[in-house]
Amino acid sequence: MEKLLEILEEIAQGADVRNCTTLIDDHILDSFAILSLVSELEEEFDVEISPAELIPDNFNSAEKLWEMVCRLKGDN
Amino acid sequence: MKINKNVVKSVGFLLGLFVLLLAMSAVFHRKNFVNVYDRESVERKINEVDAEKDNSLEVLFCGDSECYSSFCPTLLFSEFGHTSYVCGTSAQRLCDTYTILEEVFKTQSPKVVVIETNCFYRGAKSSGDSNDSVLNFLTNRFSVFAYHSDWKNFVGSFTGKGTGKKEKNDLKGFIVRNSVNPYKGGRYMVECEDEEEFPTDTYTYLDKILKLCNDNNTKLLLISSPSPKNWTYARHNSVKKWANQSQVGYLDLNLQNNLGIDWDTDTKDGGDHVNYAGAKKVTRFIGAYLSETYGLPDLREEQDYADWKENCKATYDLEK
Amino acid sequence: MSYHLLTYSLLFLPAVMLLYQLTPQKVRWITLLAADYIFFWLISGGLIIWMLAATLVTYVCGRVIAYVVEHSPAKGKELVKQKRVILGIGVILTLGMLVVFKYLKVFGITFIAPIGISYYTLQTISYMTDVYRGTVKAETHIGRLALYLSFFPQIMEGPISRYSETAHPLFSGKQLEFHNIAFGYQRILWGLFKKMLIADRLAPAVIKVFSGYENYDGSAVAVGVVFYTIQLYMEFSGCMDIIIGTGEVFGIVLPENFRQPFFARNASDFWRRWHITLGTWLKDYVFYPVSLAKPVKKVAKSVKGKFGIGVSKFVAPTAALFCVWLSNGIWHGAGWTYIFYGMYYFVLIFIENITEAPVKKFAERKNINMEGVACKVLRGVKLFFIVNIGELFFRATSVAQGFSMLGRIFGKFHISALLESNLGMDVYDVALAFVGIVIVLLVDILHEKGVSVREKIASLRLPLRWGVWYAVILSVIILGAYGAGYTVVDMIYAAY
Repeated sequence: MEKLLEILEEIAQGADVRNCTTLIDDHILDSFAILSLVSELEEEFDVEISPAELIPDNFNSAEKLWEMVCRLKGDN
Repeated sequence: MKINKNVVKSVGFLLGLFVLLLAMSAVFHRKNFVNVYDRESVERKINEVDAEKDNSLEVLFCGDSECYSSFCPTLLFSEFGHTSYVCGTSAQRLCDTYTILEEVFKTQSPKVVVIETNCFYRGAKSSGDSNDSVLNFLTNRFSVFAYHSDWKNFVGSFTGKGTGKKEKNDLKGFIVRNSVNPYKGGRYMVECEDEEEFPTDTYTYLDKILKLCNDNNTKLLLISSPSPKNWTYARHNSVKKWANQSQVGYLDLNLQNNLGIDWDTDTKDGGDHVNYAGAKKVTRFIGAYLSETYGLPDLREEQDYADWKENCKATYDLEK
Repeated sequence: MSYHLLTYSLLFLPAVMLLYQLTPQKVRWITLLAADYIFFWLISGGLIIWMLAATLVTYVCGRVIAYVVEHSPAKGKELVKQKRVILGIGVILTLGMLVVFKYLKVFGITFIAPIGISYYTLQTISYMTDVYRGTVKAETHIGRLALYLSFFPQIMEGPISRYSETAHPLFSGKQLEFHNIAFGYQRILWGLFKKMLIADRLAPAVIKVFSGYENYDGSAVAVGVVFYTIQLYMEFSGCMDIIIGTGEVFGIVLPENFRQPFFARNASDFWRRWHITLGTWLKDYVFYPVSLAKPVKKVAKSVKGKFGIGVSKFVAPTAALFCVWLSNGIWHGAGWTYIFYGMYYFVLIFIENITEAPVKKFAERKNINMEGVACKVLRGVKLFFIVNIGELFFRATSVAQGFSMLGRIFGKFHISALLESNLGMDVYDVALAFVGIVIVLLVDILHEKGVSVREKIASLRLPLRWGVWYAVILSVIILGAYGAGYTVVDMIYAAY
């Protein structure tokens, strides 16, 4: 989780990524940022994120992101 | 109870709107030019012609944009000595043609009235003819819908910019256009038996116009200007039929090979309208036709028409 | 039938509302679907069979995917493969219809297309893909799917909604409510104001300039182009107001298509505010899939090996971005101007992406406040040029014409010649268009600040509130550009 927050901080510079729950809804992450995030996450946690996962629900907060990563790790 | 309150409110709102519409319709109400499609253009044209000397015009040209693109009065005067005026307005309908003629006959006694035939297919309804049937319904019931554009006159009369001024037009209604955009479509008047009927009210207004001309001892002449984009043989047949029945002259320039229109150089918009080069050819052709057929006199040396001579010089300056 | 006609808002819609309300709630969806199909029939007649075919294909595709997921012995990758084949067939079938009707004319074969095919086809694809991805459950009731694909206010020019947004509300047959009807009709009225007062008033100047720009000075061409941009915005967003207002009447929330686009920061932000539903559709069904596709990732990896992460991180997004803008261009029609339009934005947004970080750094180092007034004004001017040049090519009949118009604007610009140009609008028309634009601008500013103008008006006392609406209604009637001397222009985006 700490690693994820680090990645997120790097990408969404200046945002309070730890507590924010509207990363997508408030346009803090745009589609390019989402893509960088996805490739970093894939590399770091060795998971595969499909387009189906790219919904606001999964990306709105660090917590949700972590849930998704854990779920995908379980799938493998 | 809440629903009832809403119903009362809605009904109240609609009633208020109805009253407002009635009131506005009383404001937007016309005494004259009631059966006119484009009042603004009609008024402007009437004022323009009004600025001409009384009884000085021998020929009037009516119709839509084909008309003011094709017939050049100053050229007609400088080469044949016939005075004329273009009463054509953009997208003119026959109801407007009729109103313009009615007004112009009060001050002029032309020998020939020429109508360019393209406007026959524009219909002649004065209002309420959009494809929006509810709007048409309202237009027929409330005059505020029909004459709403008169707000410009209201504003104009406050700011002193209103219409009603006599504006003299040195080109006598003609519009010079020199640009060239060739027509590449090849031959377009393929002979056939088909007829493309006019909209019904066209017949009504044609008959009214013919009667108006007869009452004023004026000959009516129909002319189809060269226009591959607009004209077809089926349209020719329909006009020919009406002209024959009504014993009116008809000249289809689309079929006149010796007119010498070159579609590479003589049209401004790919065969919709002729440009100035084309207009010169058309005007020379019909000038000869008018002199011959109607025996119009040559007025070039008449003292009364000295101002016409001046205007012609202005035209030639334009060409340089 | 068209949304901007009074026949629509004062006859068709009330008739549907009445019948809808008279039907028992359980079967209201049938009334609504019948209205949808009648509306479609009024415009496209028998071509409705293509719409029905697309609905059937979409339904079957969703069902088959659901069946495979439940019953197929295959697991994991094998199952994904099977699902992908089914989705592929579904998409090829519905997209195929679009291609046949829209793009075969490149080869000289032309058909009259069913109305709205460009819009509902995108909805079929999004539904089928969502079922494939598992984000929505396959629909069991074909009526609900049919409603989603054919809702009459949406059919002609969007907004492109998602199954998850509108399918269930449409089917539920909610009671009509006074508040919804009032608010819906207010929004419709606002749309008519934009369309009739402004868009149609500017139309003659736009037509004149684009069809005969050779006859005009650069200044007049520039005015024509700006007028076109305004016309397009007023017309498209105005029709959206009518459409979304219609949805509101039935208590259906349709997605917004515009969010004050001219207050955007840059080109990419502009596209998050202009024709939004097309943009998000392309993002979800082109941008993400392409950038996460295996071959793209592979290329990115090999680039990383050679040039490092600084370069490789742009590979996937750029490839995807290219596909998005090519699709955006082609979606508008089979023409080089549209492809050029797409590529124009591709290049601009690409440049914005690679320069964003360096510019930020530069500003920080030089202590420039990016949110200062000067920067904001500069940004606004830049966006103004970007958007207008884009719309110039969009409207031009050929790319070559676009360039010669551009050349004229920048090469032969004499402000003094502007007053002598005949743009087919008299001084009253120009003045009124200006006033109208200012009003819309003010409302947009309020919306940008998060103020709901309608709520504000609703909170006024009755005489004042009614006064406002009477004034808007009368101004549309008296000042609208309809009747003698004007031409009511058909909806521009219904042609795409």
